[in-house]
This record gives sequence, C-alpha cells and structure tokens, in this order.
Amino acid sequence: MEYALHLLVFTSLYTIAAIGVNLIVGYCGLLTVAHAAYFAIGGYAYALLAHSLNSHRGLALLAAVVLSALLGSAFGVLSLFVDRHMLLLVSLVLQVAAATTASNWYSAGRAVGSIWNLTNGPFGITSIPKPTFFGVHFQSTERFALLATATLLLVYIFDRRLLLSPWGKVVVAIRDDEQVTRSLGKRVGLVRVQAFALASAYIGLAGALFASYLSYIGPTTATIEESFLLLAMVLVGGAGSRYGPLLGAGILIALPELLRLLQIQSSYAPSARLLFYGVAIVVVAHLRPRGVAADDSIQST
Amino acid sequence: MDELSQTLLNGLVRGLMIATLAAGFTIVYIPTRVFDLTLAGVYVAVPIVVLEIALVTNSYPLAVAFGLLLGAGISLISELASHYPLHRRGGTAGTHLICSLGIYIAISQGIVILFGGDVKYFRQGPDHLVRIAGSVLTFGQVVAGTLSVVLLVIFYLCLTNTTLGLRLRALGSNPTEFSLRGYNIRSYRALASTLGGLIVASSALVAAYQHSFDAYSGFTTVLVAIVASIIGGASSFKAPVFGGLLLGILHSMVVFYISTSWVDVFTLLALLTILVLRPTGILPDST
Repeated sequence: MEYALHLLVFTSLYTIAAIGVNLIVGYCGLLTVAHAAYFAIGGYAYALLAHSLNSHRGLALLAAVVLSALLGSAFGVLSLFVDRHMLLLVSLVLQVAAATTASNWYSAGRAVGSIWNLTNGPFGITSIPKPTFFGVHFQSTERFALLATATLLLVYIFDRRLLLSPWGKVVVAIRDDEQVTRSLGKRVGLVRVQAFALASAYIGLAGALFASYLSYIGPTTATIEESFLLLAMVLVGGAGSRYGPLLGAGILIALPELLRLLQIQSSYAPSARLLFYGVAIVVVAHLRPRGVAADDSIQST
Repeated sequence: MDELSQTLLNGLVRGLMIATLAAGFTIVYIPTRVFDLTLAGVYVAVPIVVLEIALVTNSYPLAVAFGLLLGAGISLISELASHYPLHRRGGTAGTHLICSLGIYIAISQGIVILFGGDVKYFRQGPDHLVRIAGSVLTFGQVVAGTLSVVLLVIFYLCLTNTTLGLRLRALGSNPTEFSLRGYNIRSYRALASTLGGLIVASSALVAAYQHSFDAYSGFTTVLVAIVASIIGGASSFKAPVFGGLLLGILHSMVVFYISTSWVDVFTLLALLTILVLRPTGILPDST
C-alpha cells in the first residue's frame, strides 16, 4: 500500500510538471528542453526558503513557484528574439548550464543557502520540511499523496479553464499562425511570455513538492535526462491534448515497474528506461512530422 | 605574460578540437538546415567501440578504421532511415532536431548497456611534455592540435574549392532549384551526412587520444561545438573554425581565471550574447 501511494505521489507530481511542459510544447508549439531547470529551481527555492521560513512553509512554496515563473518568463522573453529551432538549442544549453550551476555552486565550510554555497553542490540539500497548510501537516505518505493528488486536480482544472478562456484561444492561435494573430491586434509577445511563466510555475510547483516529499534536492534533479523524461511524457501522451500529460506520465512512471516485471537487471534499468524514451521520441516525431503538437490546429479550407 | 600565453595556447588547442567537431555539424547543417544531434551519438560511440575492438584484436589501426566506418555509417543510416523520410513528409526543423535527439539518447544508452558507463582511456599515466615558446603542452595536446589542423585544412579545401561544396551550399539555399537542375537531393544529403559522420568520428578519436571518454560526457562537448557553429555563423564553412577557436580560448580563460566548473555557464552567455547582438553569427556566409 505504501509503495502504491509512493507511485501515486510520483505520478501526480510528474503529471503537474508535464501539464506545464504541455502548455509550452503542445499549446504554444515551442520545442524546448529546459524543463528540469524550472523543476530544480522550484525544488531548491522551496528547500532554502522552507528552512528560513519554518513557520510559513506555504509562503516558501509560493515563493518557489514565483521564482520558477520568473525564470520561465525570462526564457519567454528570449524566445521572442530567436527562431523556433534555435530556441531548442538555446534551451539545451540553458539546461546544461543549470545542471552545472546546481552541481558546482558549493564552497566547503560555508553555510548552505549562502551566496558562496547556494546549492551545496553535489551533496544537495537535505532535511527539507514538508509543507503545512492551515495547521494541517503532510508528514505521512497518505497525507502527502492526498496533497499531491489534490494539487494535481487543482492545477488541471485551472489549466483547462485557462485554455478554454479567450487567453487560451490566443495561445493556440499564435501556435497555428503567429502572423495572422498579430494582425488581429493580439499581443503575441506578451501572451507567449505569460505562457512560459505559467508553464514554469506549474513545473516549479511540482519541483517544490517533489523536494519536500523526498526531503532532499540535489543536482540530479536538474539533469538533461529529467528534461528528456518530461518531454517524452508529453510527446508520448500527446502534445496539446487534454489528457496527454496524465497518460504520458502514467506510462513512463509505470515503465520502471514493467522493467522490474521483465527482470531487467537493476544496473541496466536506468539506461533501458532512457533508451525507451529516446525511441519513443523518434517514433512520435515520425508519426507527427509536421510538428509534434496534437491536431488542435485550425483546419484550412 | 607567461600565464596568459599558456592559457592562450591551451585555448588554441581546445579551440581547434571544438572547431573540428563543429565542422562535422556544419557540413550536415549547410545542405539540410538541421543540427543533427545523431552526430553526438557518433561522438560518444566511436571511441568506446574502437577501444573495445582494439582490446579484442590488439590492432589499433584496424579498430580506428572500423570506428571511422562506424561513425560514417551511423550518420548515413540516420539520414536515410530517419531524416530524409521526415524531409519528404514535410518535417519541420524542430521535428528533425527532436528526432535526432531521440536517436542520440538511444545510441548513448545502448552504448552504456553494451559497454558500460564507466570512464575509459586510450592511454594512461603521465604524458610527455613539449615546450613551445615558453609554454608547455602535453604530447596528447600536440597530437590533438596537429590532427585537428590537418582535418580542418582537408575539410576547408575540399569544401570551399570544389564543386561538392558549392552543390552542398546550393542544396541548402534552394532545394527546389537544386532538384530542378537534375541533382539528386537524397544522394547529396546522404553524402553530407557521411562526411559529417566521418569528421565527427575523427574528432572524437582525436579528443579521446588526449583525455578520457565515456558515454555521458559527449553531449556537453557536442553542444559546445554546435554553439561554436552558431557563434561563427552556421551557414558558412569557415565559421565553425572561428567559432571554435573563440570558444576554446574563452573556455581556457574561464578555467584559468575562474573555475572549470563554470565553463558551461559561460558557453551559454556567449551563445545568448551572439543570438541577441548578431543572430546570423560573427562570420555569416556572404553568398
């Protein structure tokens, strides 16, 4: 039962992150791989602030989300200056730089969270307290599973309502034809930056909850492999589709369990998992050569 | 002054190696307009396979020949089986890029499963030192730098002074016109991919001669090469040389004056600076 709840927490948190990735990749139509950077920012920010603001952990969670959103909006501003396929390369370099920063912002003998030792380098940050809301503590796995699932539900409903709103329709219109949308007087640049901010806020929230659940955050959270995992979840589930993130996260989180059933040696399991992600990405790219976003585009007459 | 000249010399050698790798990406980019990350898989796979074959056959020349063929073969198969079909079906640049990323992941993880993810070496132990004008280089650096120069000269002469280079640029510039003139797009794309694979395989072996290698570190190196190509001006044959040298010297300066840990961050800053100030690169193709 404990293990099933643990899987539920992981699936819920990764689905929240995948909803954010889906907003960028599926609805904005922009392929990027810097998602793990937002995930890690959210986790590290919560870890550092929760220690400082012990009695206001909800505030720490909010601050972590805001910081991720700020990074995302900065990247959104950058996306206005570069073309789409260059943006993917820039996001790759950003992701590698984020992983390097998480691994190397360390100085022996200095307090964790100080300007000389912000991330504690390869050792990561431990003893991260779980959030507390209105006096309710989420220490046990059962309660945290409830928190993760409730957060997923709230994020999903919010995301759906937003995408069905006029703002959401502008996002899809920008994906389908940016020039026409611009000619209709819509502020394309602003909407795109807002979408990036929102998406990275979702991902940062997932990262913060992930760090609090494990009571640990380290540089492995910011690796390019984590970005590939999030991207693969969206592509496999169906980018731009309503249930894509849930489907993709469910399949890919369940995959290690399948490898266990197939008795794949545990030392090979991480590589086998990544191999599957790579093949999945290639297959999806060939199934959707004109763009990996799902078929929500306006049909031409 | 001695420290500065040493840093510059180290940067020059590193820059030549980056430039050679960037040349491999450029030769594929110019006709196809895609940064083929499959070549990152070639960079990772070739040294490891060469080492394994050399250990079995006890013959490095045979292993190196096989490795070069393997690099060219992987790139050619990727082009014929994946990129060209995507091109025929109207695949976007982003789709090509993401597909090549998937192929790279599959190749690198396949290598880990088959040969392990541990660090490997062609040579071990302290290297000989060579004194050049008051500075010191290791024998590995001298060999790497020399071979890189040879490869770059061959690359540049073959592709800027021959009709092949002209046709590859023509293909990238206007594929429709190129096809209407009777040239086979598929053949030239395949040729470009094969040459790119060959250059990247050579570059990987040169780098592996100088330092250790494994299945995980190739991606970062390849990203640096792509950034060098973009900084130089991706549509030009001479641009990767300039971009590579610039990045090599920048890296060497960062390693000496700041820390080796922050090299990737400075690579990102260099890329962002160029993309914002001069998106076509420092030496874009003037044709």
